[in-house]
Amino acid sequence: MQEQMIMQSVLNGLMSGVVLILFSLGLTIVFGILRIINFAHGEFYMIGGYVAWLTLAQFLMKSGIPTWLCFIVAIITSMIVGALIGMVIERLLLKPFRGHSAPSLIISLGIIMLLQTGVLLGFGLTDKALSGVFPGVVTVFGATLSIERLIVILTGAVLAAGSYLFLKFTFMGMALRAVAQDPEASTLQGISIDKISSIGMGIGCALAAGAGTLMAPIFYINPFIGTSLLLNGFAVIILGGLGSIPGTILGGLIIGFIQSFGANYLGTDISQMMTFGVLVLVLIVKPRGFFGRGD
Amino acid sequence: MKKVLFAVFAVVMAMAMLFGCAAPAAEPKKTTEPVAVAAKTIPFALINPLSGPVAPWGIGTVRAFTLGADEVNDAGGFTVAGQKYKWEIIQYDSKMTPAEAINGTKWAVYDKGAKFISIMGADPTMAVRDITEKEGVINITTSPPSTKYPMKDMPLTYWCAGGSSSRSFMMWFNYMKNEKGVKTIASLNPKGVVGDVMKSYVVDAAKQIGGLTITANEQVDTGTTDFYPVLNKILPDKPDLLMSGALGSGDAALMLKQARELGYKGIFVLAWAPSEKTVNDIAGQAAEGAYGVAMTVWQTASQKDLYNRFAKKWDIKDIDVTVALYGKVLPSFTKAIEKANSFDPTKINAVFENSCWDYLDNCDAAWTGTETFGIKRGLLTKGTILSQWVNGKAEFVKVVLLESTVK
Repeated sequence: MQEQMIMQSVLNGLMSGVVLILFSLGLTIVFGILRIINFAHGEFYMIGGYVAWLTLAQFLMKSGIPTWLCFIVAIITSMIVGALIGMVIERLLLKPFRGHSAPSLIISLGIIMLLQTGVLLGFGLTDKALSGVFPGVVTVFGATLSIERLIVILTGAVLAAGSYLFLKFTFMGMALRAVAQDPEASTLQGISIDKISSIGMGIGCALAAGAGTLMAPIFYINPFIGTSLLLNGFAVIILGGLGSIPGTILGGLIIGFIQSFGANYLGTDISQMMTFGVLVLVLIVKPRGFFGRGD
Repeated sequence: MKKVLFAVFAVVMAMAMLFGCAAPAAEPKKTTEPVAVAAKTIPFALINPLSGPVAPWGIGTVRAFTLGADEVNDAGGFTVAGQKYKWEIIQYDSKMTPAEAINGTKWAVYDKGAKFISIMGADPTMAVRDITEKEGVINITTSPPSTKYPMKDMPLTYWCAGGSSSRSFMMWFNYMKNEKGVKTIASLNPKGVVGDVMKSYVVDAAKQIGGLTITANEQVDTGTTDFYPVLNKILPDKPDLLMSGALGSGDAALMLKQARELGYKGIFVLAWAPSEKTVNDIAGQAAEGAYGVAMTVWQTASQKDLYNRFAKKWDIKDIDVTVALYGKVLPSFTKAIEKANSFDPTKINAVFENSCWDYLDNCDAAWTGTETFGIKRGLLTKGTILSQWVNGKAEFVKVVLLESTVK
């Protein structure tokens, strides 16, 4: 029984961790490149959920196409929609305030209201749900896991690994990292800050929307689902080091496991407290997080 | 030029936000036809969450009170000391926070001259009590009563979250014990004042009924979507009955779905007036066999009337349960004012706390909390409805009556 409970905690932590990583990667990319803390990041997660609901429940799953294919199409669609909305917002609202934290912070709070209200008006107050997309459960070393959760873990891991490889090894990824490290030097190398900022915002929002789509079959969808995730997202990127991709991955897993094991063995109250307790402890020892840069 | 334009835009955006937070969410709305010349309007202020995670409850409650106001106004209004009056519903978005509730109450009482208000949430209600009690404002709060609050020191506050007390749990605990052989119960409630109160009710109800053991009585954050961790803690004790306490419909349905995924085969009770549609949408097949407490089945004449008026007014078929809970409160309150023939809160109190109205039927909702809370102004219902999901539909099981459990 004890082994089963440990395994269950591991699987729960893994799922939470993977989703947090995807979500927080976007947050940290946007911070790294635009130098803004995007409080509206949770709203892109919410948009991903709604796109999944629209594409899957209202269209694809009624078309007779295999469910797995529908799901892949839904993820791609939501990431494209998230990216486009993100890029438009960056160009229209954030670009003028790039590098100015106070106004961009206010703008990002305004974007929260804009997106929440827009979705509220468009879809109403009632929770939306995608029930039974991948029905059934599997047993992993004695622990039970729904197939939907297993798919989240696997797909999320693929997306997170893909994002890491993209940022690490592609020209565009290197350009993004270069701008994040030193915008002025990047400009001297011929990199367009405007273009990279727009792409960075697009990628960040696409990752959040992708996370939202992944979670849509498991949880319900309403205009406010992004808000609660945002706090954990901030904890992840602060723990890992602002702007650090490996740090975000490590931070996401740590927080996922803390919350899962904490809730299992100590209760949900304590687990939430532990998350921020660990965050404080790490920041005392390493004030810039695990992989935070000196600047 | 561009920079100037954007700076102006930023200032406008910031101002819009500031005013959006500080000002009423919506201009006071008249809910009925233009008032007859002879009738004066009198404001009834609703300080409810109209945005944020619990907005559906707040908006449902606004609609419920609006239906109540319409019922009174459409019948020609009410008369006090020879003068005819009609209700005007005014509203403010409290966001379910004490700070906004204070702003809203100040706006309603000092700017709009409201003498009658309804605030949702125990924390907001406690936060504004200095204003309401000092200014002689009657607050029919849509929050559950509890002995944890200084209710005796709040003589103008009515605790109107229907049937919330250990006695309301006793009604169906008793049924589950005797009819279904339940011996052990695990409960999950949201964190916060309501969750704390419900948690204590669960313990108290089990004690009063006897022969029931509470194996777990946990609390989770409102809006929790992943119940696996807490269920992993609860389920190894194999409770005969697992209940979702005061969790909202969506959260309770998720909990049900996830409990079934983790192999829980016992009785599941959605104990806080769940919405059939929400539970079906979210839990799907997992809802089969689950019980719902205080579900609105719109069976009685009183409820059918509310349903029809609601559907006609807003063209919505899936009606929030708050409509059934609060749709008849304002007409009952109006009768009390008429009977008191005065707007003096003390005189109204003397009548209203002895009033009742039809929740299910036949005057079954009344301020009868004296035994439990030490004051009359805590609402109890005499019975509650038990439903069960069969083939994707919540079927009526029976009305479980309080008197069958009170020793």
